[in-house]
Amino acid sequence: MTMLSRTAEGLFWLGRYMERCDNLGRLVEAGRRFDLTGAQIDADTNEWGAILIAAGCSGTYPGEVKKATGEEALHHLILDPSNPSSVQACFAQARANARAQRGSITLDVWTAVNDAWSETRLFSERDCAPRNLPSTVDQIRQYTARFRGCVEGTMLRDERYQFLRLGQFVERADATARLVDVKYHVLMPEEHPVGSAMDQLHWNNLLIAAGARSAYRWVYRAPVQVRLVIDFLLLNRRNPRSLRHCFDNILAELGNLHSEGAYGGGSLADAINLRDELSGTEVDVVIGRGLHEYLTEMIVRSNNLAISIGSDFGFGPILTDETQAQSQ
Amino acid sequence: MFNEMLSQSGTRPEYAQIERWIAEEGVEALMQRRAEAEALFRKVGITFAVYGEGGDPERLIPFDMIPRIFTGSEWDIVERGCIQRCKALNAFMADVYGPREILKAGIVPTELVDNNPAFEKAMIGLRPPKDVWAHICGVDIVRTGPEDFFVLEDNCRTPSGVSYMLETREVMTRMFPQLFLDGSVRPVDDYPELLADAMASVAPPMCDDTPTLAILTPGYFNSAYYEHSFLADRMGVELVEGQDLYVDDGRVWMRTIRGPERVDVIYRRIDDAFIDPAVFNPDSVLGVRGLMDVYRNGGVTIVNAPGTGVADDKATYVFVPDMIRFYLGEEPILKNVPTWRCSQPDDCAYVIDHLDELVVKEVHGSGGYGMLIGPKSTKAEQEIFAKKLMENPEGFIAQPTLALSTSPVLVDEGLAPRHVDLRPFVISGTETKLVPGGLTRVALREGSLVVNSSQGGGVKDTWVLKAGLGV
Repeated sequence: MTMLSRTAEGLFWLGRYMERCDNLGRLVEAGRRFDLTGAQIDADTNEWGAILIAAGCSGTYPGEVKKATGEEALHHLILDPSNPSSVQACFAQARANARAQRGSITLDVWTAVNDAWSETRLFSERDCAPRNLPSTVDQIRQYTARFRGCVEGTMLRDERYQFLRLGQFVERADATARLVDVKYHVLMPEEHPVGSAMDQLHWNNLLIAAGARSAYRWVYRAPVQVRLVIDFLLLNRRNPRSLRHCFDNILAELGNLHSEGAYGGGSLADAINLRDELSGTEVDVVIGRGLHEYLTEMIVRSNNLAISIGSDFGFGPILTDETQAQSQ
Repeated sequence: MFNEMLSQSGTRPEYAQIERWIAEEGVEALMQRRAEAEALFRKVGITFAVYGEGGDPERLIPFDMIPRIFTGSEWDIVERGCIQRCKALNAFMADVYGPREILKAGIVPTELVDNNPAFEKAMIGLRPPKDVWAHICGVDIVRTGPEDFFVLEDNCRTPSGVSYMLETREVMTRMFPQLFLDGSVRPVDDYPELLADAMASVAPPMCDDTPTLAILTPGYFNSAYYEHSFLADRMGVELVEGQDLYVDDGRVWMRTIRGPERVDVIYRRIDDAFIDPAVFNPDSVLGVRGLMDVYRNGGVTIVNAPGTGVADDKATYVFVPDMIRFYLGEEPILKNVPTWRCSQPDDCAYVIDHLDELVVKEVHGSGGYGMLIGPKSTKAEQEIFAKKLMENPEGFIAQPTLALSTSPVLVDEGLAPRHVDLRPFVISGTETKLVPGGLTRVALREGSLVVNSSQGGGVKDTWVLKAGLGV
C-alpha cells in the first residue's frame, strides 16, 4: 500500500516543528549568552532583536524588533499565543501533526511528542525569568533530543522515516543559515570592529548555540576565527548542523523516495544542485560574496526546495481542520 | 424490573462463571485492576471527546469489567430480529427513492417522507449496487423481560461505537484470559473482515478488478476519530480525509506520494450534508467535490448511501413493524416501543395530559439531549415542555417509560444492578449479518435510565455464549 500525500506532509511537518523547537531552544541560549557577554564588556548592543529576526519573528513581534528587551523577546519566543513560531506553538503544532498521523509513528515517538507538548504548555513567565531560563532551555532541548532518539531507535526505515528526516533537515538547514546570519543583525557599535574582542566573543557564542564549540576545536585545533567558524557551520560535512551536512541528508532521503517514483522530479534536481555547490565552495568565496548575501540566498533556496518537495509528493494547500461532531 | 444476572431462584446459569470468577478474584482486587484496564484503553488511545464540556479533551469512556451475557437462544431472537429489521429498512429506502409503493398503499404517510429533512432529493431514482442503502446499521435495543426485546431506535446513517465492542473484548481477554479459555464466549473480532467483505461485495459497476476500499473521516478533531483509524487499521484500508480525494475522469482518486490511486468503495463517516459541496452544503471542506456525480454514474459506492436518515428518525420509527409486514410478509420479531406521534392531534392531547409518566423526545434529536423524562421531571419542567410541544407538535414523539433490564456493575460494595441497553451492528452487503455481540451501554448512576456516553454512561463487554451453554 502506498502512502497518502497528507500522511507524508504531516510527518514532514512533525519533523520540521520538532526541529524548530530545538532551534528555538538554541537561539534562546545564544541570546542569553549574548546578554552575559554584553554585560561583561559593557557594550550597548541589541542582541535580542537579532535573535527575534533569526527566529523568523520580525513579522509577528508586536513592537519594534530592534528595541526588544530580553524579557519582551523571551515572552514572544516562548509563550506569546499570537506568535505561531513560539516554543509552545511549535510543540502544539508538532503534537497536532503527530496525533493526526498517530497510525504512522511508533508509540515511543508519539509519547515523546505528547509529553513535550503537555509539559511545555504549562510554561509561564516564571520559566522565562533569568534565573529559570537555563533550565527552561535544557527542558526544551531534552524533549527534542528524546524525539530524535525515538525516531532513530524505533521507526522502520521506510517512507515514514524518510519524510520525518526530510522535514528535520530542511528545518535545520534553514535554522543554521539564520543562526549564522544573527551576526549581521547585531548592530555593532563602531568601537567593536570585526576581529575585536567583542566580535570574537559573539562568534564564540554562536558556536555554543550551535552546540559545536568543542567540535570546532577538535576539527581545527585553533582558537575561534571568523573564517573557520563560518567554514564549520556552513561547509563542514562532519558537523551535523552544517548546511552541507543537512543538504547531504536531504539528498540521500530524496534519492530513496524518488527511486520508488513520485509525481515530479524537481526536488531531486534542486537538492543535487545545492549539494554540488556546497561541496565545491570554499569559505573565502562565501566571505568574498558577502556572508549575509550568501545566507539570504541559501534561505531562499532551501525554502524553494521545501516547496518542490511538496509538489513532487502531492502536499496539499494548508487547510484548517473543521471540528464537527459527526456521529450517531 | 428484569435483572439479567439474578432470578428469584438465584444466579442465572449463564452468569455462574462470572459469579465464581468474582468470588475467586475478590471485589477489592477487581476494583484495583480497574486502573490497569484504564491504562490499557489509554495505551491503545481509545478516548471519547464530549463537546462543550471542557476538561480533558481525550477522556475515557468509563469501562465496567463485569461482562453482560446473552445465552445462545436469547441472542437468536436479537440476531433474527435485527436482520429482519434491517432488510425491511433497506427495502423501505429503495422504495421511497424508487417506486414509492408503501406510500401509494397508504401505509406510510407521504408527507412524513417528503417533509423529512433527511430525505435527499439527490437520491431519487438512484439505485446503489445490490440495492443496499444502509450497509452498517446500529439497532438500539432494550430488554424488559426474559424474551422481551424492544427496539428504541434504528441508526442508519453513520452509527459509531463498534470500536468499543472490539476493544472491550480485547481488554477483557488480555486481563482475564482464563474467562475465555473454554471457548464458550463467541468471538467478535472478525467484524472488520466482515465489513471489508461487505464493502467489496457492493463495488460499483465500473470497477472490474479488486475494489480499493477507504474510510473517509472528518479528521482527528472528531470525537469518533479513534474508531475511524482503528477500523482502517484493522481492515487494512486507507483512512482518508476529503482533501485526500478528488474527482477526475469520472472516478474518485486519492493523492498518494506515488501519484493518484483510484478508490472504489468509500465508507464515509461524515454526514450527508458534507460529502459533496457541489450537491449539498457548499461550504463543506470535509467532502469531495463531484463525488455524487461519480456515484450516480456507477464509478464509486458510498457506504452508507446518502439519504438513509429518512428511515431512522423517531417519527418514521413508528412504521417499521408495518414495513416488515409490507416488504417481507413477516411478523416483527423485535417489538417497537409504543409511541405517540405528537403530530397527531389525539396523540398530542394524550401526551400533554400524561407528561408526568411519559418520555418525550425530539424527532430529530440524538444523544439523549433535549428530552423530558416524565417521572423524573418537576411540574415546572413539564409546563415548559408542554409549551414547546404545542408550538411544534411535529417535532416530538412520546413513549412510556420502560422498566429497562439491569446488569451488574462493580462498585465498592460488590455488585450493583444498573440499567443497560444494547447496540448490535448489522452489516449488509450481498448478505445481512451481525457478529455475536455489540455495544452494551450502562447508566452508571444509580437509578439512571440514560446510557449515552455524553450523559455519564459507560460501556461493558457483551458476551454471547455458544448455543446450548447457559440455557
